[in-house]
Amino acid sequence: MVFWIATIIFLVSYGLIVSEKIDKTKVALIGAGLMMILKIVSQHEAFYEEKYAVDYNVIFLLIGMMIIVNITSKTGLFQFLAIKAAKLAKGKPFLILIFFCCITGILSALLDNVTTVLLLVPVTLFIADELEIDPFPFLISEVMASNIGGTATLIGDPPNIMIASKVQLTFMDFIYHTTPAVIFIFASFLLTIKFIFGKRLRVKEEVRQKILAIDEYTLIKNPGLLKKSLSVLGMVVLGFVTHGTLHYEPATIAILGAAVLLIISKEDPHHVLRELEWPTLFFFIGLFIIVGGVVKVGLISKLSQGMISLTHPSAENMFVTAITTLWFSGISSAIVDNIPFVASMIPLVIDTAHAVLPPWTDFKTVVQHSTLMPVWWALALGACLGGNGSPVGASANVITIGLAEKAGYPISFKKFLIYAVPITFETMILSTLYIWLRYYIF
Amino acid sequence: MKVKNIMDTSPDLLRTSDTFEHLIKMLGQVKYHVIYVVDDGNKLAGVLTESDILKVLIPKYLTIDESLIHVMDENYFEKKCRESKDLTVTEIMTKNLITVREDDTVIKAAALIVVNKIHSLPVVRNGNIIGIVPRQLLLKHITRVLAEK
Repeated sequence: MVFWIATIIFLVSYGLIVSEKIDKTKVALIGAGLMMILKIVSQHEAFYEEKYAVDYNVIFLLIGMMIIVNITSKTGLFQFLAIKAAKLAKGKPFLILIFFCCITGILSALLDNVTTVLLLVPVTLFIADELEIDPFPFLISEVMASNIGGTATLIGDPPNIMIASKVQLTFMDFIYHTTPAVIFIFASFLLTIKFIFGKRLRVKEEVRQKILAIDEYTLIKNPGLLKKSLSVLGMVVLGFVTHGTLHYEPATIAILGAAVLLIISKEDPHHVLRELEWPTLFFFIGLFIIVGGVVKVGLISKLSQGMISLTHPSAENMFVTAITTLWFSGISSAIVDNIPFVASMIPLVIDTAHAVLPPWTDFKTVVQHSTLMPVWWALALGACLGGNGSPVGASANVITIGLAEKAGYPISFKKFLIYAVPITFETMILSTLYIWLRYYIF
Repeated sequence: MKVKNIMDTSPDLLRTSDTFEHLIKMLGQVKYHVIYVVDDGNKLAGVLTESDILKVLIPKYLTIDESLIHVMDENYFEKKCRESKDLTVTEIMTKNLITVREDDTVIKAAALIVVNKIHSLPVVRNGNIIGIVPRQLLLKHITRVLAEK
């Protein structure tokens, strides 16, 4: 009975989140509330027991990074970098497009994707306006670059943060495993946009001169704050690089960095904290409790049995499981929010590992077993890259389309799909190749 | 007191097919800093204020990121003025209108103006504009009230 009640709460919540009829944060919190009031998970389990509880490592890592990004975004750094890049490209539109994609990709790997596009889209519209060209090639390419770039690191995209936290992976694990894939995919993505937009982006010499005349330094609003933000960001990245060796969780690094920046920037914490994305954070909290409930009643174990019979993983080889996970995650993330998907997939993969791998007592030995690792990387690549597949696949897509419409350049669902689907397909094929070559051939 | 007792029955009007250039030429003769737009059937279609005119000349991305003001081309405004010459007023006007009827009270008109932070209200009968209640006429009404013995 409890099994079915938990399953219904999970399925109805999932359905409502996908339908977008009710705000997803409300759905996640009511689902979590029901799981607790019906004692499917007790409040103690939901808050404190590692197996079923809210993953506070994820929550506090997100809070810490949101604070750092919120303060850094006030310095004008993003706009400065974009104008600087446009000038370095000597006002040549296609070169500007490539530089903007690289800036978006790198910033998205280090900060959150939504803030990156939120700050780069207006400056992109400005440059396109100055060049007297259609901004669409820039906007669609930047969205794609943001989602691809975010895949590169532990902190780049929420699915990676969630996987890293549960599987106890370090920042450097992602640098060794997903970053090379992203570099490979990004290079191919740039070639593709050259093929698609290269010939379309031509402007006259006098128009290019307008870009070279811009003084980008006027965009730096507060040089003192910029220095402080960059110093803290640098220290935080160094902290992430070494957190595995020093045995600190990433959230510890992010929260300490955020606190230091709040103190030295003299920003009003009430003001900064008010601007954090609390609905997203509470969405995560609710979702963790819902998933905790279905893990406890055994739904996830049953689903993992299905995965085992479908993909036949063994202690020696999980190739089919990895590739199935990659494509299943990619397609699902294009259609639905990748956060609830990954939140459900993580315990499913863990249960599969427990069923297939020899019964070690140590959790870390099981979840980091060399046969299982490609499945985690497949999940990360699929869930993050799949976000490019549709206008609603990732938050960055929704934000960019909204901003473009506000600025008078509406991007229709169909137009987005025409460009997004082939590029997503390309990135998924390259991910398949990467996983196959890196983990099963060499 | 009713709106019909204080309204001006000859508001400044333009047609939906009139252009931006037309609008600018008319500005010198406008009584209350506002022009109403009517369609071919003389139905009220929109309103034009000074702010609507300026909005056309400012790039919309500035409403998302104000900091880009610092790097804009100094001749942008003039360039945009020339480019906008042939725009129709339909593309510029505000379409969501707050209106009053002639039998509405003056307090209703005054409250709508204050609450919605607007300068005037069109007075409509069956969709047609029959008058205007601007702030100036409300202030004139106050003078009259105080002068009454």
